[in-house]
Amino acid sequence: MAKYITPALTLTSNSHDATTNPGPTSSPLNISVSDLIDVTEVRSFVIDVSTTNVQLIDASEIASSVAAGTDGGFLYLRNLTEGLATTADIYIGHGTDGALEGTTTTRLMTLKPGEFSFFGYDLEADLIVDASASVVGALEAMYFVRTGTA
Amino acid sequence: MGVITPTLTLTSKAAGSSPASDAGPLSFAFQLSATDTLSIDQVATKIIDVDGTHEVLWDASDYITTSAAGSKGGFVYVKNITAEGSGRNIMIGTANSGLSDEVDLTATVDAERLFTLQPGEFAFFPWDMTFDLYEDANGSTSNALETWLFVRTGTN
Repeated sequence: MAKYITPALTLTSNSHDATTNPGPTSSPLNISVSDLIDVTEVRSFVIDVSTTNVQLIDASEIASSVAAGTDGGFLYLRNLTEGLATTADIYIGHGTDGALEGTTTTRLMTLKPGEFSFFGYDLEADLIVDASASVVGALEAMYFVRTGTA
Repeated sequence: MGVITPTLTLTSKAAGSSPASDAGPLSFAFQLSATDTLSIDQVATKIIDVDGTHEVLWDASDYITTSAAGSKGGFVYVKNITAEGSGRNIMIGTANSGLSDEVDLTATVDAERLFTLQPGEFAFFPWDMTFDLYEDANGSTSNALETWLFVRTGTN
């Protein structure tokens, strides 16, 4: 039986001459999008981070094949360290284990405190996490597995 | 320099909800909301055609000469804007070659394809510009992929 989640994203900004929170363009932006995604499993966890890289998701635990558009899912990540006594930039990599802070093509993204992302993940490689400091309960991750993933 | 505000919500109804077409994957109704303010100094956007050949979507060297975690990069929004039911899947990857091989599901598998967007699906994620972003698709469609790049303040 199909099971659905509804992700919705808005991206807004003021015009560049606004007195409060001026935006990056001459006209205000207002992008709004939503979708309905059929998922079969939800994996959710909050993890500690440190300056030692570790595996965030082992692709082989979820799927044994990687058919584009069939296997995989969507991943929500959020850096929870905003406002804590110790904050950290959190680095996410795609591939084999390794330090992510330096110049490396394994590093996909940096999430600064409070930042989040929502993106597809086809399970072609493992996801790696690394950080600029050690913080307990620093990264929230929720992976929504597409129905049909084998 | 300016500020953008992304807001994401993820919602689902409880499993077993009626009608069945609305049922969620958990035993309870779920709602998650996240918002943030991001300092941005450049915005780029385009709607592109796709076909069965991988092409550069965003070229990192257009924005940086060296990467720096947390201080250089941007945020990418991508949406597959092909018609629902069209079957036109669009793949986003890091490859400078071979992405189409994986799209075509040969035996070669590596870390080049990040994700696949079915019609109507979208993503919003940071991109540290440590590599170029590529797109590929399982066929040809005009005006198929909308993308925006919001460049972090301090990147260039």
